[in-house]
Amino acid sequence: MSEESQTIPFSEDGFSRVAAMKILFLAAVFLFVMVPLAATVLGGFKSLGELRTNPFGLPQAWELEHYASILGSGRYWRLLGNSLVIATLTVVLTLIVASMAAFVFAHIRFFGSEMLLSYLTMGLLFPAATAILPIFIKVRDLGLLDTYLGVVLPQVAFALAMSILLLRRFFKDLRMKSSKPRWWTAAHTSFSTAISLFRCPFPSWRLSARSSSSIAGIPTSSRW
Amino acid sequence: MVSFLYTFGITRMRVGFGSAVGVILFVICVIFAISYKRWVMRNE
Repeated sequence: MSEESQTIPFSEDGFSRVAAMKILFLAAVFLFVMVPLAATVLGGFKSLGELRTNPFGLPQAWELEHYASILGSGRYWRLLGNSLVIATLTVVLTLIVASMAAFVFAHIRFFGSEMLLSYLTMGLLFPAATAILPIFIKVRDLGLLDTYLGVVLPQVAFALAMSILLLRRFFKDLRMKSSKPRWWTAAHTSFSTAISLFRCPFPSWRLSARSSSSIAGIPTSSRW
Repeated sequence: MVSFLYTFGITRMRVGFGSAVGVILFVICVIFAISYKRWVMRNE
């Protein structure tokens, strides 16, 4: 039997047991995903009474009112715009701050760096839900209620711990060699990495393959 | 967005409206993901 025919999941006399099990498993996964999705899509076309009596079947009368009222309302799009602005600001701020901090923790040794890193990573043990009241009081005292920053800053604060941990490992794997001063290399590398993490479509903003290959060759510990 | 969905779908018991909000949000996310993959990740 050739190698190509061995990869076919069916035996010569029809379905093999393994292939049948795979198909059954995939069908179960498909149903597990698609049934709630289809019920939600169809639920948008049903009245409340019909949703209670017939939650999974096709609607008796297709009501377009829900979808039309959402697409035509300004409130929905304003809320969507708010979410977009908050998400964008959160990601940008987190990446900029976390990448610079992570670079320092990865490549610069100073007194208390390990303790400071441990202190920052302690944020992972602290769920945001437990701090919701103090956060609200602090945001109110800062006069940030009903502003974008009032939502963005707490989110950035809680995202920093994980981001610094991930980016620190990433920067540790980078090998640094540059004729420019350390502070410039550190600032440029961390900032350009933060920008490149956005998958920015502008090539000149990315941490290019050329620059990373040209700085390769010297172990990190010997340089920093 | 999610609080909007929760307010209408759960608190006010307008389940059909809440479903429609979720579906439109899902469609927007899918369009964004496909566009992102097609344009930004095309060289990877």
